Amino acid sequence: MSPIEIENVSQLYFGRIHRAALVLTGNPWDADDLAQETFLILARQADRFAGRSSLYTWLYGILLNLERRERRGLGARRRKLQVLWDNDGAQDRSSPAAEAALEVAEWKKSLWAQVALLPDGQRQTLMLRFSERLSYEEISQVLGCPLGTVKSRIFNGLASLRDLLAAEHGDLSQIPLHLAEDAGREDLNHAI
Amino acid sequence: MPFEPRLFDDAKFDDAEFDDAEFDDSFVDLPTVGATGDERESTLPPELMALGDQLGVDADFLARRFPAGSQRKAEEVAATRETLASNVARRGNVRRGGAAAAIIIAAIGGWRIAALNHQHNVPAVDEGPPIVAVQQVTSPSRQTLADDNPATKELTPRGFGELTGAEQEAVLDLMQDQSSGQAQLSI
Repeated sequence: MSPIEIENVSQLYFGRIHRAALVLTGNPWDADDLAQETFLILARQADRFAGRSSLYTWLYGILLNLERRERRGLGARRRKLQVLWDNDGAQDRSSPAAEAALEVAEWKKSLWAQVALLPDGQRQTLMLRFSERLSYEEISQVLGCPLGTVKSRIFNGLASLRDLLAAEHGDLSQIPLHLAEDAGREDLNHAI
Repeated sequence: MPFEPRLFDDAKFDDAEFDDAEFDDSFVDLPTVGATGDERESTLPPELMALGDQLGVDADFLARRFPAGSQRKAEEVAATRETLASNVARRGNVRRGGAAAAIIIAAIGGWRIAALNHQHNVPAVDEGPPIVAVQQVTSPSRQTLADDNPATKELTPRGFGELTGAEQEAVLDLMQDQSSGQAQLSI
């Protein structure tokens, strides 16, 4: 892939990859970084793309691996911090500084903040399906898993999300509409 | 070359097993075609379908709220504002410096006039050699005519004592720069 082709691909798909990164990370700073890193890898390893699938599904694969690596790095740092705190025996500590990154109020009010609590597989599958609107076949390509796994992750992911909301709000009919007021969308309480 | 978007070895953390635990395949029969048209997960329970719809709407909102590059643009705007603020502050410093110099010159000029009047009425007293000559330059062309410039003023010890603290400090700064005892202050 020539530099010009890479530039064209970047212009064509950057918004799409950025949107996926934003939904996953919850803040525009990390989303910008992740999206840019995705295209950096594209530039460095474009020869690895065999052309058997859509280029954007390949890009999603890169993005998800980067994001998963970031989360694990963050998790490891938090665990180390926790060990230090436990050894210190101090009480009433404040949250780790890493929490400060997740400070976009709009994202916190959205359902994606709850999705972030789900396991990686479910979280990424829900993002690809309901944010990026990929088909099940495309999702199975991106994640490198069978079609049945994609279906089960969607079902289990949504069911887990429902349970999380029920646990948080007690009664599902009382689940807030999150961004509905801002977006002016239709009331969904009747369906839940 | 096989399709392989996974660039990192994360087999150790593969959570597929966890995700698929206790999944009853007979309960869900989902379509496998893209959801870009009217196609939906028609076999999902209604509450789960509603949640899926809600996720799509929330994602649309977030994408509109934080479009790609918006953060970089915001940072650039902030950086531009800081630069502008810094420039304005620098210009303000220059103006303040010019005003302070003008005050010094005006004070020295006033003192000089008073001293000349005093010389006409009172017998001359030796006030020592001039310490500093302050020149008011209002245009670049006049800088080259410093020696002949009628705006050049001399400062004596008594006159120096009549200056305010800030004015004295400014004059002393000028003297430090000019070891010959002659200093020039320009606006």
